[in-house]
Order: sequence, then structure tokens, then C-alpha cells
Amino acid sequence: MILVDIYEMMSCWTFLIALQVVIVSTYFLWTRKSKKYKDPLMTDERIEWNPMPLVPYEVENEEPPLMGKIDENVLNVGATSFLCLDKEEVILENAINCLHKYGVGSCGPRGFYGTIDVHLELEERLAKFLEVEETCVYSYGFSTVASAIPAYSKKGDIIFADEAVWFAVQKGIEASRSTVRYFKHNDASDLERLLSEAAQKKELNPKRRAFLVVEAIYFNTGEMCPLKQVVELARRFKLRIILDESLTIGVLGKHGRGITEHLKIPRDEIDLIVGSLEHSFATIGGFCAGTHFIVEHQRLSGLGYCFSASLPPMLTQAAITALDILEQKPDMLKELDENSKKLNKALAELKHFTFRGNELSPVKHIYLKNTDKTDDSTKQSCLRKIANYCMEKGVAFAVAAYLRDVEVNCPEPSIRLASSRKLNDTNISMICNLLDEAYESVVPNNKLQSS
Amino acid sequence: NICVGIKNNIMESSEVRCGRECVRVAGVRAAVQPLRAVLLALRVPARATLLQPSHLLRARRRAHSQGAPHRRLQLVLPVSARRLQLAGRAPPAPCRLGRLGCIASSVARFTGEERRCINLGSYNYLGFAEPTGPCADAAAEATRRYGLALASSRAELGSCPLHEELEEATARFLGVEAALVCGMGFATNALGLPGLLGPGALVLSDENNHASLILGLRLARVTVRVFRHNDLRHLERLARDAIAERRWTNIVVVVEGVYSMEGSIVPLQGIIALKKRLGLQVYLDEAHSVGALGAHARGVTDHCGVRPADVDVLMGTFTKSFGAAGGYIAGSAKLIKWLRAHGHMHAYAHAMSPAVCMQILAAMRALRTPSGLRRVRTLRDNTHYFRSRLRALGVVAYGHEDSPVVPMLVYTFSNMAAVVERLTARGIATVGVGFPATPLYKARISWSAASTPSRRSSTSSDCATPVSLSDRHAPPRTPVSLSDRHAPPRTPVSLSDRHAPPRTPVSLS
Repeated sequence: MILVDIYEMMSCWTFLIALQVVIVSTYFLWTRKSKKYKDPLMTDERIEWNPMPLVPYEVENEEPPLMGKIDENVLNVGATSFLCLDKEEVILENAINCLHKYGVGSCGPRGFYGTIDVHLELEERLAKFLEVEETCVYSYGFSTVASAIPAYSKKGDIIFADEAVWFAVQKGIEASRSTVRYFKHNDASDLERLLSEAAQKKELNPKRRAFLVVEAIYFNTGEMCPLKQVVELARRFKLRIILDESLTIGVLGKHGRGITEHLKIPRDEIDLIVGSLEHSFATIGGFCAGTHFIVEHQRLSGLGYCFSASLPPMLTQAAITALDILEQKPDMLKELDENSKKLNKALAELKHFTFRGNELSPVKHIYLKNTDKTDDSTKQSCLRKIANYCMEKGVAFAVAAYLRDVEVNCPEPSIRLASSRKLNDTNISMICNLLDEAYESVVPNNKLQSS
Repeated sequence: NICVGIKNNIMESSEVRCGRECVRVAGVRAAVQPLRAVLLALRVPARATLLQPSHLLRARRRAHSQGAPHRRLQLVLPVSARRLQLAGRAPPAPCRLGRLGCIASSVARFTGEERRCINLGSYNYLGFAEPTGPCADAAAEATRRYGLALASSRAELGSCPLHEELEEATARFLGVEAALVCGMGFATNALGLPGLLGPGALVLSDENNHASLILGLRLARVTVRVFRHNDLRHLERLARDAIAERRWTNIVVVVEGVYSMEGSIVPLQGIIALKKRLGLQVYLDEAHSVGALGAHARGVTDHCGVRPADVDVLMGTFTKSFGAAGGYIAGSAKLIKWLRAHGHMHAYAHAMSPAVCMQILAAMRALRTPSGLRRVRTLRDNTHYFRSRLRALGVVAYGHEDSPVVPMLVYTFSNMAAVVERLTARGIATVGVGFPATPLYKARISWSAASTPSRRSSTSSDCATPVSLSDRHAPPRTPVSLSDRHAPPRTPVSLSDRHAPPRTPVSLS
């Protein structure tokens, strides 16, 4: 009985609902079809459109000095060729031989037949030298760390970084789109505070990868990272460490294996070591070192590795030969260390400058003394004048170039002094005397006026 | 200049192991098939000690004759060198490194197999990357004179006279006021764009733009809207919408000259007309086109008959046609000054190696001589010839007639692996490009034409090879290995429409 009732009721409703569906869907289809693209510029409304030019105003560049071969006419203490390997004839000859074997360019990315046997050899040699499982070679120092960071850290991950990291690291962090926390320069307790805060807020959790980015010796300050404490913290809070060893490979440690050798930290504590071939090795390029599992990941996801032409074979060969020399003569490192220490002693006696830099660091930053009220651009131009003065007297200094408005935490203007193996006592005292002399002649009345 | 290259295409293949038997299966689908299923599909006895290509072909023919073609047959690669070694046969002669891969790359390793191949994967368009000759000698001379590197950035102590000369020469070559060079092509985009564009700008970017452009735009923090590949109407619509929004300080169109994965050429005249009409700005990446296109080898502006000054920013690389490394940004003197002050490469990235500088300078000098221009003509002839032969084979090649990048479609991942494998076996090194770089169903083989006289023969011999590939074993109407499509024989489709390269791939079914 009930069934029949329902059936009778439904038949009428079904018909109505079906009709509704048909009407509504026809209506929708109709309106959709009639919807056409309307050009927003063809309405009656007036639209003002005055695009800004790509370059809003003319800027003047400071002309950089034109250099010949490093140290050709002047004593160059700005170029970061610490071991003076740019002078080695063997390297040049081997590079030229390689040039006559393969030509200059590699004509393709590593995956597109840009891999030459010298690349494989360099990777193998570097891995053996650093005692890691694998390395991969990039074709430019800047792009190495700037590609390595976004290869691992993605949106939603968190990065803890020192506030003084150099520009390439900053760009790498920016490209990764991760959350970033900068801790105070070389301050492990500040890092600990940040980490425990993050742990309390549940920002550190297993669903999210957390990275720690530090430099072994900071390019922007010359200070050494307190790596032991940092590693300890990283293990406690389960962070992965990316360590930029650009300035320490071929400088620190008994064999030049970097800060891990110097501080006797097992290399497998560091997840990824990033290095540059542009400083001690005096060629072009960079590399990442770590376990096979970690490094291999970059070969497909490191943008600068995947999508860029590989390192020219001759420059690769130069790096291999530099490694040969470094392995044969580890005494070079001692000479460099001595010079760095001597330089620290000598710089401490400067009258008009302060300086910063670990005594083992090959990079020192020289700042103007007593300039609290002076603004940065005045300091910069003053330093530039000092450098020009010294250039005329036969010593080339590098005024550290920064893009002040783009840097996350722009360092104070400074002259970046690079220690190297070639310096002797007379050189060092001449450098210091010349700096003071230049200051006195460039700055009248020994007072900097803020303009 | 025969290169030793990593064969990156077997990465996706897998090894199916069963006792001492080892059959290598390529492709994602096949990777999950157990050994028995594969052997059953092949209809070879499960106890066969060695799987040979003839087994596969026999099995395929049998399947065809029974009217039930089995697609999976296509997925199986020929016997690897390692298996040949296991069977006590000598592996083929050098000089290309094989890599034995499994599903995850973490277990890929070199087999030690070497094979001598014609390199059709490198972008040595004009053949300037040769180990001897005036370019190489000049580079060697520069190395002796200036060393290998200056160990400093350009703004600090890294500038040497060669850099200045190169910048002047580049500007003169392109016909603009000034230029700025950088030691790495990828970094030129990634470090130059952030200095040029700010958060207020809107960028209309082609959907096939290179990763370096995308990274540069991300670092510049601009808003990016993507228009369909080479679609001027879509571009115009997006631009008009954006102007009507009144939010943007300026609108920049970012395009490439020749797209490396599509082989298409940008319709530059149309873009310049649009730019002038709507007040847009144009950033043109000539990574593949500079040196390779145009009567004077000046790139896509030369090819399309556009004044270089009409393009706001000209960017390009020295890696391809000039056989060196690095890149440039060129334009008005005002722009270059701005980039020196605000671009990242001038202040932070180390200076270009003097040897590389000299190589580029020598190549540019050579391009001003008749013999240099002959190389450009030869490249164009080779490209046309290569494309016409490919078309005659009935395979689908994307791109513009004049583009030296010739992508040949093979559609599926497994086809790609198989084609590359077979070509390698015949001594031709090419690159297969698959999913992450292309849509999933549009895997392709990327050829690049070259102009060297010695390459001329290689290019033509290569054209003949796909014919011989479909030799007596294969079904008659198969170009390379596109054999399992049951389409009627198609007339080759010309994809050379100058102004509107096809948006949709030519359907095979």
C-alpha cells in the first residue's frame, strides 16, 4: 500500500524536478555561450597609462680599476687567490693543453653532453680530497650555493641562517621561498634561543624540514663560525646543516680540507658542504660535497647545475691541477696561516682604522675608526678615495662592493684585504703604512664630515 | 669534437632481476611488471639466456600477424653491454660513457661502456668550440697573458682590459649602445633580472621560458602572468587587462628568441608592434638565437627585421654559438649603467675568465669575415636540409624552419628511451627530453644542427640513419620506433608557419 502511495506521489514530483533541471541547465548553458571577452580598454572610461621607464633615472658608476694578470703591475691584496695558484705555470700549461684537446666551451648542460671526462675526474678527485662520498661541480661560484639551498629547502620549510651570510646565500634562501630566521652573527646562544622558540611554537616539527645555513669563514666579516656549538645545536634540534666553505677549502686544516678538518669535526656531521673554486684554486666554478644520496639529488634539482652549461673543460683541468699541487705541497697552507696571523698583528697597530677577521682567516675587513656619526655613503666614498690613492702607490685594495638596498643586513663599508702566500714582512708593513698615509692625505684634518 | 657524455636517458629504466637473469625494462609502466609477465609478452622461453633485439622483433611480428599488437613490446630496451659481457661477448668500442640506471638515480652507476658517437646534442652551432684554430689560439694566448681567473668581482678588482673590449664588441655586434657581461649564462638572467624589475612591475612571460628566467623573476619579486606559447592574441588580451587594472608601474614582456625545447622562434615583429601600441617593455633572451639566426648572425632581431634598439633589454649567452661560456645583457647606455649599479652580477659574481673572453672576441671577429658568415649560412642550410629529411621520414618535428634546435616528437617516455638507445647504438648521440621538461605525453628527441664542415657530413649521414633504422626487421611504415600507432600513413605536416607555430601538436591518432 505504502509503496504504491510513494510511487504515485513521486511521479508528479519527478516530472517537476526534471523540468526544473532542464530549464536551469539550458539557462546556464545559454548565458555561458553568450559570455564573450570584453576588452577593458574599449569601454568609455578613460584610462591613464603612463608606464614607468625600465630605468627611472641615470646613474653614474664608479669606474673599477682595470687590472692585468693578478699582481702584474701592483701588489694586489684584494683578489682572493690565497694560495697564489694563479701564478703556477703548471696550471696554465695544463689548462692550455686541455683547451687544445676540448676547445673552450662545453656547449651544453651536464645532462646534454656537456659532461667531459675532466668533470668526472674533478668530481672524483674532490671527493677523495675532502673524504666525502661524492661531489658535484657547478660552473659558477655564485650559483653554487644559490642553487644548492633551493634544491633542498622548499616552500613550507624553515631555514635558520647567520645574519652575516654573503649575498649568494641570501639569494639562495630567497629563491627557496622557505621561512627564514636570521640569528645574530656567530652567536650560538641567539641561535639556541631562536630554535627553542621555534620548537615551542611547534614550528620545528617532523612534517617540516629545517635547515641551518652557516659559512665557515664569513666573506662579509672574516670571522670564523663556532661550528662545534652550531653542530651540537643542530643535532639537538634536528636541523640539517648546509655549510659554505668557500673561503676555507684550501686554507684551513692540515691538508686544506676546510673547517671540519681544522676543528676536528667528523665530516658526516655536516649534511652538505658547499665550496668555491674561485678563491684558493684560482679558477672559476664551485662544488657541493656530501654523501652520495644527498649530492645526487642536485643533479636533477639544482637549477644552476641542470639548466646551465657546464664548466669549460680548461678551467676544470686547472682545478684538478691545483688539487694536485695542494696535495703535493701542504706546506703552502702553513705559509698562508703565518701570513694571516702576521697580518692580524700588523693591522692591530693601524692608527685610523679598525679591522675584523679571525687570525686564521685569509680575509680581513678594514673599517674607518671614529666614524659613528658618518653615514655609509660618505664612508664608502672615503674608502674608495683611499683605495685609489693606494692604487697609485702600487697596492691594489678591494673596497667591498655591496648593494646596500638589497642586502638583508648590509655590513659596514670596508676594505676587504685578502691575505696570501706571497706576502712577506716588508709587504705587510708597507700595506699598513700606506693605509695610514692614504687616510691622512685623503681625509683633511682627520675628520670625516657627513655630507 | 666528439664529446664523452653521460647518457641520462636510462635513468628511468629498471632492472628486473630473477636469479641470474637480468632484463632491463624501460618506462614507468613496465617498471612494475614482473619478469614473467614481460617474458610472456615477448613469447620467448623463460629460460632464454640472452634476450636479443631479434627476439623482440620476432615477438612483435608474431603479435602483429595475430592482430593483437602488444604495446609493451615497445618498452623493452635492447640488450645492455653488461649483459653482453656476462654472455662472454666483447662490448662495443669507445667513446661514450654508458650509465646503468635503476628506478631511483641513487643506484645509477657507470658501466665503463664507451662508444664513439656523432654528437648531435651539443649546442655548438657554429663550430667555434673547436680545439684548434684561431679562436683556441687566441684563448690560449689570453690565458698566458691574463691568467685563468681574476679572483675578484668586476666591481672590485676583477675588471681587465679584455672585459671592456668584450663589452664594447658585444654592443657593436648587436647594434646597441652598451653591454654588460657575466661569467655564466644562467646567472645572467638570475642575477640581472632582480636588478632591473621591482615588485611594482607586472611580467607577462611565455609559458615555455627557461628556468633561469623564471628564477630571475622570482628573485625580482614581480607578479608574473603566463601567456600561451607565442600566442600574440593571448598576450595582447593579458596586457590590455593589466593596463585596465591600473595597478602596475610598468608591464614587461619576457620572451626568448629561440625556445630550446620547442625550436620555435618568437614572433618578434608582432611583439614589437604590440609594445609600441600599448606601451609595454620587452626583455628578449637570445640564448639560442644569437649567432645562429639572421644573415649577419645577430640573432632574432636580425632574423625578424627588428631594430635592436626597439627591444628594451637584449640578453643572450655565449655558450652556444660562440663556443664559450657566460652571457651578456645589452641595451641603452643608461640601462647598462643602471645594471652595473643595481644588478647583482657586477658587484658579487666573480669576473669572467680572460680565456673565455678572448674566445668570444675571436668568434665575434670571425663572424665579421666572409668565412664566419659562411658558417652561419651553412648552419641554415644544414638546418633546412635536416628538417626536410626528417619531414620526408614522416616524423613530427616542432619548431620554425630556421631554428637550429630541432625537437622530434616521440610522445611517450619509453619511446624516447628506446629511440635514444637505438640511435646511440648506431653511433649518434642525441638527447631525449621527457616529462619534467615537457608535458607528460610530449617527450621528444632534441637535435641540434651544426655548421662545421666536418659536421655537414655528419648531419647528412644522420638524416639517413633513421631510414636505416627502420630496416628489414621493423614494420615498414615506422619511422624510428613510432611503430605501434595504428594511424593511416600521414602526410608529413609542415610546421614552418612563420608567424603562428601551431599550438596543438599534430595528432597521430
